[in-house]
Amino acid sequence: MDCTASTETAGGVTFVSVIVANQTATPRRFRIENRLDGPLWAPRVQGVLAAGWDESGFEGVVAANATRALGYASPADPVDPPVELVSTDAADDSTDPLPGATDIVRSLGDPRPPADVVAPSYLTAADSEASGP
Amino acid sequence: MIVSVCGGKGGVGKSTVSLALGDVLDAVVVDADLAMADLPIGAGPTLQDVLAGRARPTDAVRDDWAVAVLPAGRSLAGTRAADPTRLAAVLQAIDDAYGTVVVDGPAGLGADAALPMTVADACVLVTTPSTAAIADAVRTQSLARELDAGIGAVVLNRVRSRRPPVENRLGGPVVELPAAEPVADATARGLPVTMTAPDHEAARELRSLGERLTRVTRRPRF
Repeated sequence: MDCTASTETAGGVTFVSVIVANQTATPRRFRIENRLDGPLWAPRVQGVLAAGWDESGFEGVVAANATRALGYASPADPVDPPVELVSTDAADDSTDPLPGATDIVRSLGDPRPPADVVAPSYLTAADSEASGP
Repeated sequence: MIVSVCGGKGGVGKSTVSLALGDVLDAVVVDADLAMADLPIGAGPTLQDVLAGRARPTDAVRDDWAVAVLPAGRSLAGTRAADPTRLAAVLQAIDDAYGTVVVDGPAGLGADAALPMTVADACVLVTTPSTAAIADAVRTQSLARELDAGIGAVVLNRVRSRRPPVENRLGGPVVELPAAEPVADATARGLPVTMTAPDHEAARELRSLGERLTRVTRRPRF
């Protein structure tokens, strides 16, 4: 198992690219953790954190003789290395549990109306005043 | 017991079936159509308030009406503030307090349609004989299967003289509700047909559906 990472900075944001490679003949479970001095902005799907991410890193499985590419952003300044491979384990072949509520929102979409259609109350109050008689 | 009334296409009769099952099973009907609710509302906290953590699930149940209902609010802002991932826990809380919950689900295959299925002991798939409605019911059934929610029954609503052999596509058991004035009338008044026309064929079918649902195996809770 090895983990290579690089950073790129644009507009005050540090973008971290990570490649986790598994050279063994069995799938491995791993965890990487952010080493930048700032919050981790993980990828989001339908408004919820992408599967495997949390506020300090990512946990997932890399298949046998395969690589896994990951990326996140942070407002912190780049450091070297930006991430650390903190644990690796043999991946158990247990079947996936039934999807939870977060998995469902991630794959089927947030059912709430988009924020754009909801006018904040101070705006609607001002509008009705302006258009009053 | 939690029964999820679902059906892909809008306007096929999910609310009609939900209200009748609420009456037959003496259950709380939860209007889980967060964005486009249609069960009667009245004053008081709504499902959105509960999902936003502003009200307790049992405090939002109206049980002074023909059927106990937990209504959904109408405002987009309220729905925006609600956390849909709490829905399963809310349904379980109502189930624990009242014994039986009927979830009147939304149309479509969004997360709001799927979330009640994750805790449902049985799904009731509602469709009309139209090709479009059956196609959507097939998709909803696949979603239910994916979430381990068994289809307790298929309700074929608004059947005229002849009906398509939906058992081929949807399996059984199929409950047929005729296209009839008393059913439309009950729906227009927002009342269960089992209450407004208890001797009508539709009411009889819905009562036997309710009886069948009481015999389903409940899903284990963790």
